Amino acid sequence: MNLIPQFTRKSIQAKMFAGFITILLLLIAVVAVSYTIIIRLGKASEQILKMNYNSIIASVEMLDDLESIHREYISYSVVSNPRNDMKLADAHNSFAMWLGRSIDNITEEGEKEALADIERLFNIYTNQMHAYKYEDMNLQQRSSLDSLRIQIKEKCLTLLQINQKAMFSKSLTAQNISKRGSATLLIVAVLVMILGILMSWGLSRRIVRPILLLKEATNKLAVGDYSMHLKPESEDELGILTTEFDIMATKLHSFNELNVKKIIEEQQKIEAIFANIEDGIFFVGLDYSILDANQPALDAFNLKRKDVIGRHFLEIIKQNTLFDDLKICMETQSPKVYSESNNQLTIKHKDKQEYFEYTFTPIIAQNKELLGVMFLLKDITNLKNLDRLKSEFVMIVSHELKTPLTSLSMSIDLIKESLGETARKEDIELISIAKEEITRLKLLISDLLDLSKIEAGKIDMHFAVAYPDQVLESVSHYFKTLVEEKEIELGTECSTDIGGIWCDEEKLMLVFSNLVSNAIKAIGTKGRILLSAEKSGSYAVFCVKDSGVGIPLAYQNRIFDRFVQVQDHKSSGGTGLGLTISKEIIRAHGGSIWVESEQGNGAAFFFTIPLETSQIIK
Amino acid sequence: MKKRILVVDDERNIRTTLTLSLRSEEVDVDCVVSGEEALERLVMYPYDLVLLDLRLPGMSGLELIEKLKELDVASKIVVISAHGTIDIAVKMLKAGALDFIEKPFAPDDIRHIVNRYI
Repeated sequence: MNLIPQFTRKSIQAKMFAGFITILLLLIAVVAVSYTIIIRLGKASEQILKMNYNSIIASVEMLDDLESIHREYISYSVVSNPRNDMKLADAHNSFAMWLGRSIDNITEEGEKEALADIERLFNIYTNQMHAYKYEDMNLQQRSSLDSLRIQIKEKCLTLLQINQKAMFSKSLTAQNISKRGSATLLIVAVLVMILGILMSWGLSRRIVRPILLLKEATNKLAVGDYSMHLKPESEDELGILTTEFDIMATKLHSFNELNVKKIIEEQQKIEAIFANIEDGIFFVGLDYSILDANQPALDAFNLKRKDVIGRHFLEIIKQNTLFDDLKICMETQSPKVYSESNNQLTIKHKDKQEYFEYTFTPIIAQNKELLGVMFLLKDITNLKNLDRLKSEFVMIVSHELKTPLTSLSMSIDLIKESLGETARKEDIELISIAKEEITRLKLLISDLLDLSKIEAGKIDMHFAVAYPDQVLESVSHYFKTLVEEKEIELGTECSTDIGGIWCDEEKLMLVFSNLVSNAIKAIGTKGRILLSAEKSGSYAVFCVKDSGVGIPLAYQNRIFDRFVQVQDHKSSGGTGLGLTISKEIIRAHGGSIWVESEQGNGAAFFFTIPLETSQIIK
Repeated sequence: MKKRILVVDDERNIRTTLTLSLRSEEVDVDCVVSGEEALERLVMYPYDLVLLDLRLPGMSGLELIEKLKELDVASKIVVISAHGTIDIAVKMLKAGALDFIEKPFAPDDIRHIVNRYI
C-alpha cells in the first residue's frame, strides 16, 4: 500500500491546485477587464487633451496676442521706439504660431472655416497696420481696423466655443465609458466572487464529507456497531482512506466475533467444568460473600443454591476454623499450606458420614488483583472407606493369624517342655529360634492390629491433662533396668514453663517406648539418650536424642512409613511399624513428628503435643 | 477325683495343644467342637471349668453363655478369643464368664488360669 499521496489528476492536492488555478485565472480576467477599461478612459482623456484642449489654449492665446498687438501698435504709434516695435513683432509672431498650431490641429466641424476666416482677417488686419501708423489713420480707417480686430476676436471665440463644446461632448463619452466600465467590472467581480465561493464550498465539501462520514463510522465502531459499510465517493486520498477504513472495520468485526466466540467458548468450558467436576467449589468474594457454588459443594453442606449466593461465608458454613483459613488465604493471597491431613472435614448427614479434604486458593487476575478465594472440597469419603476397609482387612487377617500362631506357639512350648534337660544342644537352639520368631510374629500382629485400629479410628483416645516432667520421669523409670544393662546414660530435661499438655498418656507412653527402644537399638551398648521437652507456641515439643549410629538421609523421609527399617542397623528385630504407630498416635493428638539426624552422629526425634491451654480456647 | 475340664473350640490344633498343656495337671480334658455339643454335654454333666472359644460355627460362645444362664446350668467359664478388645471382655464378664484369655497364649498361661479357677 502506497501511503505517500501521489500527485495525480484525482488527488486532493490536484483538486485543490485546480481550484486555486481557476480562481487565479478569474482574477486575471478581472484584472484584464479593468486594464481595458482604464486604457479606454486614458485614450478618451488623451483625445480631449490632443484635439480640443490645445485648440482652446490656442484660441485663448490668440485672443491675448490680438490684444497685445493692438496695444503695442497704438503704443508704437505714439512712442516710436525699437523696444515697442519688438514687442509688437513678438505678439504678432505668437499669434501666428498659435494660429499655425490650431490649423495643424483641426478636429472639429466648423473649426477649419473659423480658422480660415481668422487667417484671412488677420492678414487684412496686419496689412492695414503695416500701411499706416495709428495716429495717421482717419476715423474711418481706425474703425475699420477695430472692426477687423473685433471680427478676429469673434472668430477666435467661435473657435473656442467649438472646441469647448467638443471637449464637453468628449468628456461625456469618457464618463459613459467610465460608467460602463465600472458596471462591467462590478459584474465580473461579483461573478468571480460567486464562482470562487461556489468552488471553495464544493471543494471543501468534497474533502470534508468523507471525513465526517469516517468520523461517524469511527464513533459507531467505538461502541461496537460493526454494521456500517463505507463506500469511497472518490478515488483520492480520502477515497483510499475510506476503503482502508472499511477493510479495517471488517477485519475488526471478524476479529471481534472470533474473540467473543472464543470468550464464550472458554466461559462455557469453565462452566462445564464447574458444573461437572466432582469436587465441590465455592467462590468467595472479597467481602466474604459467596459468589457461586456448584452442585457438589451445595450437596456437601446440604444447601440450596438460592439460599447461598450472596450470603456471608460464615452464615452458610458455620465453621470458624474454615473461616479462619479463608481469612488467612484472603489476607496473604496465597493458598494455605496444610500439613498431613489437617485439612480434612467430616460432615455428618442423617444416614451417612462424608469426608472432605479442603483447600483455599486465591483467585488472582493477570494484573495481580485479588478477585476472591476458591474454596475447594474434595470428596474423600470413598478413599476413607477404602482406607477403613484396608484397615479392617488387616485387622481380620491379623486376628485370623492369631489362632494358628497360638497352636504353633503352644506346640513349640510343649516340645520344649517334653524335651527337658536331656535335649540335644542343637534341638534347644532350633526351638529357641522358633520361639524367637514366634515372638516376633506376635509383636508384628499386635502392632498391625494397633495400627489398623488407630487408622480405622477404632482406637479410643482418652484425653486428659498430663505434665511433661512427670511423663519424662515415667519413661526414664520404665527403661531404667534396660539402659543400666546396656551401660546407656538416660537423662531428662524439661522446661519449667510448659504447664500441662492435652494427651492420652498411655498412647504417649507407647510413642516414647517406641522411640527409646529404637534409640537403644541404635546405640547398642554404651552411649547417651536425652529426653527433653520445651514449649513452642501452643505446643510442647518433645525430643528423644541418642548418640547412636544415626539415620541415613535416604531413610529420613520414609522412616515413618510402614515396614521401613534402616537396613544396616546392628540389631533390628523390630516390626517396622513402631514409628508408623507413633506417627498415627501423634497425629491423633493433632501434633506432628519428625527426625533430625546425621549419619554417625546420632538421631533426634521430635514430636509436638498441644498444650492444655490451647484446648481450653478451642 | 480328678477335675474335669471341657474345651470348646472348632480348631483341632488348639484343642490338641490345650489338652497337651494340661496333661501335667491332674485334670481330665474333654473336647467338643461346637456350642450345641457343649450345651448338650454341660446339661448332662457338670464340668469344673469350661475353656470356651468365642467364635464358633453355629452357636457362638456368647450365645452359649447366655443359653446356660437361661437353663440355669452353673458353669465356670473362661473365654478364649483372638479378638481381644475391652468391649468384648466386658460383655463376656457381664454375661457370666469368669475370665478372659487372649490368643496367642502360652501353656503356662493356660495352666495358671486353670489352677486359679479349680
